[in-house]
Amino acid sequence: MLKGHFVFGWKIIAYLFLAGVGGGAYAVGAAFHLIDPEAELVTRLGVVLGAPLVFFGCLLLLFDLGRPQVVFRAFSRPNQAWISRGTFILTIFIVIGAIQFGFWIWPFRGLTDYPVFFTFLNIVGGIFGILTVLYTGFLFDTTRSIPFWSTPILPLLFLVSGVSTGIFSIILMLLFLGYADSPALGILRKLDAFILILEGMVIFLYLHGMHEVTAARASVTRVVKGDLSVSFWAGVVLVGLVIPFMIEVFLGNDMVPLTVASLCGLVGGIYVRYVVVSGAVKAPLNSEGVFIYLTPRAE
Amino acid sequence: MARFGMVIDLKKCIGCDTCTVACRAEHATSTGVLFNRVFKFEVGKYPHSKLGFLPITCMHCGKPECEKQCPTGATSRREDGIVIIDPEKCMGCQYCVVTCPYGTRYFLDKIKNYVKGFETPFEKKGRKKHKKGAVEKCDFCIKRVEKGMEPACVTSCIAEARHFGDLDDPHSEVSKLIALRRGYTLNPELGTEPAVYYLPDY
Repeated sequence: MLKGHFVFGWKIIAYLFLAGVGGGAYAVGAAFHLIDPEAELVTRLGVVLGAPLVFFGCLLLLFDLGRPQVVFRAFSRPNQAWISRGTFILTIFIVIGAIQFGFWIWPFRGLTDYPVFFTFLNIVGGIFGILTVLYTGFLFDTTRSIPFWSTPILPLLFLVSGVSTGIFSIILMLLFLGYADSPALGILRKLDAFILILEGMVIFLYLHGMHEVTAARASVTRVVKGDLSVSFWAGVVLVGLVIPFMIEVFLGNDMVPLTVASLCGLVGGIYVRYVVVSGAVKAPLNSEGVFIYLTPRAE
Repeated sequence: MARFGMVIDLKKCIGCDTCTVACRAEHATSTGVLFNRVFKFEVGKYPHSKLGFLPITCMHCGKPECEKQCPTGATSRREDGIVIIDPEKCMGCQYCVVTCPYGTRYFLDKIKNYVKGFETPFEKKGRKKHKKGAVEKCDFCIKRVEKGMEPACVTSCIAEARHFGDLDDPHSEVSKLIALRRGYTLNPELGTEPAVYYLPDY
């Protein structure tokens, strides 16, 4: 339990990242479809990345379970448990993604014949993509034993980070598949630079707000100048925000810098999850004013 | 309907961990899994400091955070206030371990013997109810309580610091103690309404 390495291991962090990228990429693709149906390429990449990445993340979750043979019970209590709600959200998202994948990309191509249904599918899928990114934020938000997580800024942070990593993954796919001259690339790049500013602001607000909460201050100290500070300043801020932003704003559509920017952005997305998960410190037991820490206290 | 609760007298507790051992003997928990723990810490600053003890078990909350977050329905609160886990239903997602403010839940990822590589007959007998991969915790010794006995930690406490009874009955020993000695619960700010009360050590 030392160093706050919680019950959550790398599988959960990887899941959070994959769900963010997948849900974000799909939502961006769906939004592009609504704005400009001609920009089919982005929507297609959103479908290709979305459900498969989320599905892979779900497999990691499954392997993390103690008794995966009863995983179907996770559907039992959507009325109050966020994990149950999340199970529904993930299932619906993956089913929609699979339908779209199967009938639009491979092996069938029939979906474009029904534009209304297609648009409907895109909107519903986009909403569930957003929910996929958001629900873990709400799950953490309702965890009152961990003050660092009990804030509605967390869903927002996951959303912004998910959308930005989703865009990075689409850009990377565009470059990888040889569409370096696609007009969508410029739009995505500018949109992403804007979202990176937002993400920086949300991270600042998150840490600032949590610093004001006495119980969460220990976590913020760990993140800003404690054992997680290298991950935070180098991983989240420098690699995840500053480098990609600089490249996107100043170096434009060139292939190599943009690839570097996207890879950096994705690594930053992993570090955002890592810092948020590992920064968690349980609130101390309060025995009439005597505080007893359950985990070793961060010095 | 009764609501079972416990009162722990911190004035009497000497931190001997008999409750911890009695609990392990009763439940034959795996090595490293302690349904009952005693925290020992320093209160105040030297030279005006003293040792403090705080025995922790599942608080059997009136509004359990773990039950709220359990996606499978494995954790439930009985009508008599005891919060139980059904290991058959638990899928081992461990979120209750994260969300419990009192840190009293344990994830049994593997069953460890006390002596490496050798399972004593006692361990063999007691392990039938433990399910690998599920989360477990104190159940107020539900089997003993149903037979009319008190939980093992209460019976075994050498200082008689622990009391068990019905919180809803104003004439019960626990209710009287709470009223008389101003019993308090841990982390009242979370609104979990624990059924384990502590009596101050002054």
